[in-house]
Amino acid sequence: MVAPCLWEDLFHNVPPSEQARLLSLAGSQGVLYAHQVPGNSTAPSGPPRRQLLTALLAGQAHNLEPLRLSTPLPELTGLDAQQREAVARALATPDVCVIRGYPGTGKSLVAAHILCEAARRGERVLLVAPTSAALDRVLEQLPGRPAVCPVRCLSVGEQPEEMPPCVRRMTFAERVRFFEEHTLPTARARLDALGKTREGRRADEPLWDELLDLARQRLQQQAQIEELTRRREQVPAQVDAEVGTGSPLAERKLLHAGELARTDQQAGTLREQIGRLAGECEQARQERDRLAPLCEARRSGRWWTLGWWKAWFAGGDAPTRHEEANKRLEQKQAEAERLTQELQALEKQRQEQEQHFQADAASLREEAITRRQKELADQSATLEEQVRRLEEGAREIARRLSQGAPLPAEWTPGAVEAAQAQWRDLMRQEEHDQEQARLWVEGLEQARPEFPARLCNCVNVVAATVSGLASDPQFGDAAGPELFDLLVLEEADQVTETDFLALARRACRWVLIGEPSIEPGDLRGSAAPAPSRGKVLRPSALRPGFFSRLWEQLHDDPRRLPRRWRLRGERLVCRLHPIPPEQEAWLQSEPVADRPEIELRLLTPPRQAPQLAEVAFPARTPLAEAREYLFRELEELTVQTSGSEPIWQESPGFVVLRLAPRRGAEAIRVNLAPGVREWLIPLDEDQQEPGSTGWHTGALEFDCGKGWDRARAEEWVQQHLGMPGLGRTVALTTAHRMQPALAAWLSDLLFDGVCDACGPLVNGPTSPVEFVPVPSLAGERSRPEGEGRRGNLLRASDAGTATLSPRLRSMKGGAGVEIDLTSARRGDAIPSDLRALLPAAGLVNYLEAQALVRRLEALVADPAFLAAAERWQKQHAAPCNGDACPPAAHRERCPNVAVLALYPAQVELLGLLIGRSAALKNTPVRIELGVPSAFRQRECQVALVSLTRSHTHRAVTFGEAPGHLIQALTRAVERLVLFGDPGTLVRRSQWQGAVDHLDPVSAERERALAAGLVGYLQGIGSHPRAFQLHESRGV
Amino acid sequence: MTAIGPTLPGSRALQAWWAELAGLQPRRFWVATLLLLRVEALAAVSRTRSLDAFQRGLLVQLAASVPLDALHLDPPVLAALLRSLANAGLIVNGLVLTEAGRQALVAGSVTTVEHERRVFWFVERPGPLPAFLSLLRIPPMTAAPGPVSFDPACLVECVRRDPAWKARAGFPVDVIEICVGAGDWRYVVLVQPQALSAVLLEVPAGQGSALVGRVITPAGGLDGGGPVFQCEDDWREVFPDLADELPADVWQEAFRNWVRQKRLPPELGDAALQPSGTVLEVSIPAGLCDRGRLPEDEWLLAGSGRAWRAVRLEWRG
Repeated sequence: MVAPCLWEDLFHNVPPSEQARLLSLAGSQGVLYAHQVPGNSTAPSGPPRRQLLTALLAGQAHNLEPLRLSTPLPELTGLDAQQREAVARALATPDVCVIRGYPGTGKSLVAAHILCEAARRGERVLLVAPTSAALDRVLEQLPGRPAVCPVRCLSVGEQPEEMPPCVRRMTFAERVRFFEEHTLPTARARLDALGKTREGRRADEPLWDELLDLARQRLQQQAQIEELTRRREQVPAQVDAEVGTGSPLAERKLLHAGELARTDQQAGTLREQIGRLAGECEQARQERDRLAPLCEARRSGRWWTLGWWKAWFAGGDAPTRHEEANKRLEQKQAEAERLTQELQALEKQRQEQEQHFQADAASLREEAITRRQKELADQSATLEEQVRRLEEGAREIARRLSQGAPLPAEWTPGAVEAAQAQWRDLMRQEEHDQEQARLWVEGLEQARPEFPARLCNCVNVVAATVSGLASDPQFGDAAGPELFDLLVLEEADQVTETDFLALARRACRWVLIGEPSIEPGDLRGSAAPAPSRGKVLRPSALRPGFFSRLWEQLHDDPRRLPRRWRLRGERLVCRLHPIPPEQEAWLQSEPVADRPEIELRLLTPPRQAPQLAEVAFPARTPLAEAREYLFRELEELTVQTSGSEPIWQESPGFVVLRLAPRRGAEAIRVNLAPGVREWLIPLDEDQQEPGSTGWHTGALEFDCGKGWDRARAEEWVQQHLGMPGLGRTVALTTAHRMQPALAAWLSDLLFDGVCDACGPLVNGPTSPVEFVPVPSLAGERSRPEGEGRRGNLLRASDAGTATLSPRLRSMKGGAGVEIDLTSARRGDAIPSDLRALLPAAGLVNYLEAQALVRRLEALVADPAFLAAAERWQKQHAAPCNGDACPPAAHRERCPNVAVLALYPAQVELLGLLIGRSAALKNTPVRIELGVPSAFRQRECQVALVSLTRSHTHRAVTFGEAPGHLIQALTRAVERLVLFGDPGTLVRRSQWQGAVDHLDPVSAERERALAAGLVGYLQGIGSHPRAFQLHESRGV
Repeated sequence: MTAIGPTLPGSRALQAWWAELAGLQPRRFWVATLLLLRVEALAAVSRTRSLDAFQRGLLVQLAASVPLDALHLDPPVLAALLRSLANAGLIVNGLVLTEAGRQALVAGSVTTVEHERRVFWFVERPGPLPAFLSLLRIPPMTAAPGPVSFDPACLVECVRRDPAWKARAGFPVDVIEICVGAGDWRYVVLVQPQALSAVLLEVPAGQGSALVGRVITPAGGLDGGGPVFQCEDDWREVFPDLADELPADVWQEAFRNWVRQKRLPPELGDAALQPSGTVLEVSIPAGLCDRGRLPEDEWLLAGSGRAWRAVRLEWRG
């Protein structure tokens, strides 16, 4: 039994004040009784949010609570402040959020971030767009974001092959196919592989035993080798130790010792003899020395000397004896000499013997050592050979081990055992893996039937086109009323209210993203009045879509503020409230007591309380002073602005509410409250109405240093301006796609300058916008003024760029070079071979096509452009592989050059001419042709736009709708080249009212656009340097 | 609380109902208009669900620390499956099983606590607090007039009672907490008083008896959808005023009124009465009137307040 719950519906169905009352009552009573809730609450009357939506579309937004972002904006990389705010508001809104962005301002990026953030918060999101291109543009940015599980529903008749790979992967069928053809087979294959691996591992087991056995044998051998090595090292010592034991060396040593003993004995004998002889020599010398003086004395005959007498008394034979002694001495000495020589010879012999012995001994030792070591080395080598064989065997066994098996670091038993242990671990791990894989395969097999249903639950982003959603088998009407948390409707401006209401039923909250419909008042040169709330300017059938209505309902358009500043005669008047003309007679003036020069004008209609309607100051009163006075004395914030997109900007130190784009440096500061300033900026000439002061409010600035923050500033603005400040709208005004100069030019031409360029405006060597007049105006320059239809049309501007003179305005028609293919009369204006290939009906402009192709040829021949084109291609060449798809991945969507024509027949003609151009045949530049709708959600480096129309006398339309031309103008990133007939544009800009198939409103949009272009041709525009007239020779 | 009384049917209607209800062998029979309170509150509900094949498979793999890329699932689908496990509290940090996850893996099911608004029915009874009444279906009811009061503590107390009582009373066992209090708009308890016309039957059930409620339709018949509630043995707790037999003087007074309505001899009103289940035996004093003139298949309603006892008159003597 399920009882319907009432409270949630009831609570959401009452206004905030009633909610507060009910909560207070419940708080005091503990419960809430049925009779205390408003109306008959027994059954809700319907989905409350749908009622809210109906009320909003009916223009009743007064019950909405202002949405303020209490938390700081999410840190989203790659987004600017506006885009972050858009994401934050979309996520925070309790009901609806409308995001409006001009072309190239990043709407798709914002949508992608909204999806991601919502999904990250656990919400289910329905993404819907009228076209697949818009849908895919968002989806392409989702891969690689784990929080999102998107499914892309196929539109009726749509083929998956037509989708980008990354988006194709997101279709339900592809996701199921991935499961069937990848997940399941891969899981099975993994299980099989693991099974085979395990079998191989099991087969390894005996090999490990063999390995271990070999390792042990090797270890033994190694031990023996080591022993031999050790023994080899000990051989010298061993040989040395064996000297005394009967070895040859020992014998030799004994022999040597005997020889030495003998020699020593002989030497001893000789020494003994020599010693004896030395004694005898000494005796003989002493005797000789004793006899020598006697002998000398006798020989000299000096008998008076004592010596003669001594010799005398000593005997007469002293000389003889002396002689004998001397002889004896000589004999002894000679003998001693001989013996000494013998001794020396003996000693030398002994030495030689010693040396011989040593040499012999060393030789014998060495021989012994070498021999023994050799024996050991031979043994060792044998063992090493055995070890090598063992290792070879082990390696052979290791080779037979299964793949991935751990190998021993070395062939030791320890290393083998360690490797075997690793192998066992690996076995266990693989066993475990196999078991898990088996369980996973079983689980998948079991889950297979329920996978589609499970996938439906997993999906948190369902993306479908408006037409595709209803018929989708999983998420369409047939699947039941599945409720999503959030509906993100891309290109909401292209969706009908009926479709939206049908979609809205499926979600609790709605985020609508779209482009602003270019209102006549937004375009330069248009004098359309600012729209007022609730005032319908056009027939009901031609009302803007619900998107515009919702925007108008929820958006605070500062142009709706009632204060008006006017110079009336000698007075500067501030009108505080609108006064119907019929009531102006009831205005009564009253001077201010202390400032008699200031008049208060009271509206005093009969039977009504007087009301202060105007305050008049002397005309010379400075604007700032008048405004400060009104705020100080009357607390009236007298903001008047022509800007339509208030934007909150937070910079260090300041919070700024920007109300209108600031185009110059000139500004007036108005000090309102402490820390609050109003900045007045000059109005553009075309925005000035009669009596205008020439100034309007550009911004309100809040000084954070004085305690202001965003929340407080928002409250202050809401309190003083009276704007509801619902906070459910965000305008994206920073053009990211185009280069700054091009963005600024387009913003000025199409969006009233609201759109900001992303980056500083730098005037490059070439203007980003070229206009090629067809037919060429070059020939007209030489004509004297007044001669010919285009006499003196061209003049050189100060900037060096050619512009058409103001006399252009007086032109009454174009050159008339367009060709209606249905008309036989003009058929000969095209070469017959071309004509045969063109369709039977449609508009072409052969001259313009030729001019375009010539310009294209010149472009692709320009080395600077070729280099830039190469860079562009590199930037956009990242492949879309289906898994991760970078934002610039889709190369096919970003050609270098887009050749656009407003009519299909002209596209075909251009295609034929380009195909015949030799210069374009082998160019590396990627060129693509099409009508503007073919380039929806796409961008290009350079856009060449053929306006095609060239009519002689009447105003003609440019394309099916002004939107097509705007789309063509906003595709280029770097450069835009327009080809057209200035006279036809001038004629178009001069024609007010419906043209051809266009209703008055669309016609006025187109007229204003043409007027803007003509203005630039005349040198009028905020960015004249961005625009250049380019003559095409030979046309 | 405003007392509401039943619109009393006549004997013919009672006889027709009896023909329909006699098969239940009622021991006693009442006609009642009950004041029911429809109480809508935010409840914490414990739900046990079997793990589906994917959840089980994933938990097994995560428990075994199998790398996610070995699962070969479509990455967004895998991420969504992991999120669902994380949301159910079965894993944390993307890959780690929680205690609940491990238990779920063993049990093959997962228990989660969810908050949802639930409707509970209470019936007013003599005494300060209403009693919980488990409706088997929601019959057509009318909004009860006048103010009522309801203390949410009464509902909170029911949640706290033992499972045996919950089983007997039919109180939802999955409700583990009632969220009441200020601060959150979802915590508001909404009370709607409703009036339900019903016949109450005490029928044999096992060793004891049960009380069955059948709805009386606005056309005066019995709703063909079967019982709207059935209280088992402890029905006397819910309907304490029906537990005891009516005092003799109440019977006598009701019988006298009946005699007056039927324009029978007033002396008959003093006849001895013997209530017995669905029958009231009336002993006719001898010679008072001819028994053949007394109406047959007559029913008498006796009592006061929300429920009136219905008995068929049987003449004796």
